[in-house]
Amino acid sequence: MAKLTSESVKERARQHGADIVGIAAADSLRGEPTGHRPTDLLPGSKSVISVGIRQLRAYMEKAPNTMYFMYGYRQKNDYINEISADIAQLLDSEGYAALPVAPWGAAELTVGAARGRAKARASMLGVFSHSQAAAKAGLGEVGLSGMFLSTVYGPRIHLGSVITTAPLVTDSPATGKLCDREGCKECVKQCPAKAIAADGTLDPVSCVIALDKLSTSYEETTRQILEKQAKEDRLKRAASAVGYSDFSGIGFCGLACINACPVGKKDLR
Amino acid sequence: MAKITSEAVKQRAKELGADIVGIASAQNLGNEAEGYRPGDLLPNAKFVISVGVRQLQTYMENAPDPTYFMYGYRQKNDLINKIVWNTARMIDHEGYYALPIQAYGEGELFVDTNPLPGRAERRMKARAQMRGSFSHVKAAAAAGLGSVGLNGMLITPSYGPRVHLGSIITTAPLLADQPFRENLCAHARCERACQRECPAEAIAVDGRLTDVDCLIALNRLTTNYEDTIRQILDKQAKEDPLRRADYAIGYAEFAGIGYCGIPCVNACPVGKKALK
Repeated sequence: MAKLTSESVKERARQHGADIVGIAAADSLRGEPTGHRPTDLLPGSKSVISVGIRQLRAYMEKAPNTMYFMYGYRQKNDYINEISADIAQLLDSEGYAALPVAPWGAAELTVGAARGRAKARASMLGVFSHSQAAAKAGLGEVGLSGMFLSTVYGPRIHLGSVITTAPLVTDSPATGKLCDREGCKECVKQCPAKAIAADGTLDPVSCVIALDKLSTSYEETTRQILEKQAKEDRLKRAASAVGYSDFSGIGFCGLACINACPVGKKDLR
Repeated sequence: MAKITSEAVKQRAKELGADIVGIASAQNLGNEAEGYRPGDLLPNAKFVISVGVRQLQTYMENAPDPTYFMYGYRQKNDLINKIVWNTARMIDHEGYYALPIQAYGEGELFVDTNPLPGRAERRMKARAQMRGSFSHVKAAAAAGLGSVGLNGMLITPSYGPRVHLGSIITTAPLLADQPFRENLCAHARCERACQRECPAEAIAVDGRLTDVDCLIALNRLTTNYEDTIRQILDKQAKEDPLRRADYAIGYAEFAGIGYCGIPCVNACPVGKKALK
């Protein structure tokens, strides 16, 4: 079998449909919060492989909102998982531990409770920051909107990661400036939930509520979760309500923060 | 950049696993109901690519019913979804909009932007009418892949009704195939095998379908579910029982409780091959 190299790993990802792929040193993510660093999830990890696929622009810009959630959102998750799992199997068969991190996910997976889940969703905090990993892997930078901006596609990209103990040759973090934080602010202006402040501070609860187009009663529940500890019962209800909107395709805000971003925007015919 | 061509699109779909693929002009589907026309789902749609995957005959004729629902049904959906998604990706990469329409779907998803409250009821209605977001059958016939049979299904020359469909709506400039003109059903001389063998008697002699009867038999629902579905169609009912019914049907479909044996498919002589 050919020797495992950074290039062979990347080639494998591309063959499986990745539009972008890069490799970050696990150590470059040591500044992440405790519990969210590569070594917290996989002891002894050396590298993080970051992969991205582009969402179909017909879903994001043109089709009825619900179609995006019902099909576009779910399918791109499936395909990212497929790519990550395949890379992980390649690394595993070469004798290295490899942990694929799925494109969606809530921190509660690691701490385990309905309350944690509702909180994690409300704060939009995943197990692992795919955005930070992609930036360190040289694929782009984190923009004012808090989203990852790819050099080629801007924010129109969805990410997955594989954390591994394999000591792969890493890419240099991107240095160019993609996001015109002072001059542009299109994401700030066009967010219908006003969840992005002019300085880039995010209000995750407002975002998640607009994204899932939750009715007022759910909104109150979500806010309560963040503001105070509540009883388990109510939290479970809230968690299931939020999960329901996520997976049944209730609707969403139009993803203005993505569609408005001029980075990597190409007009389709 | 390679130019996007009808041939390249068809080849991609076949590489991904499609057994049949054809291209329809979006204009030819302009008579569909409002909200279900290609241009309603993707503005400026020019063409619809129709892809079909044959179901394994073993599942349909010989395997225990729940096996078909649990595995055959879901896996062919996954395969079709993958074909339409990845073919759409190729077109998107070339600079045109491409919207994959998956193998299953519910009409209400696409006409309803704020589905709460009353969502469960609308969902039930869409299911009871067996109406998806888009008619793959009409698209396939317009793309020259077959004719619409007495049983309401697409009948293809090679496989008869033993084929499952997906579609991609796109703004890319392709070449359309000729719509299918022949009526495959009329030449079959089967004396309406689908109509005679349907255990739910859901197909009338003239081909008129009773969707509720079909759905109930397909999902092998017990009498109280049947009543519930009929109530939903007949009148507005309260939120609670609707939610229960919704759940029950979802369960039947996804957990593989059973089904009617789909004789409307198995009895059709068109494209039927005897396996060894």
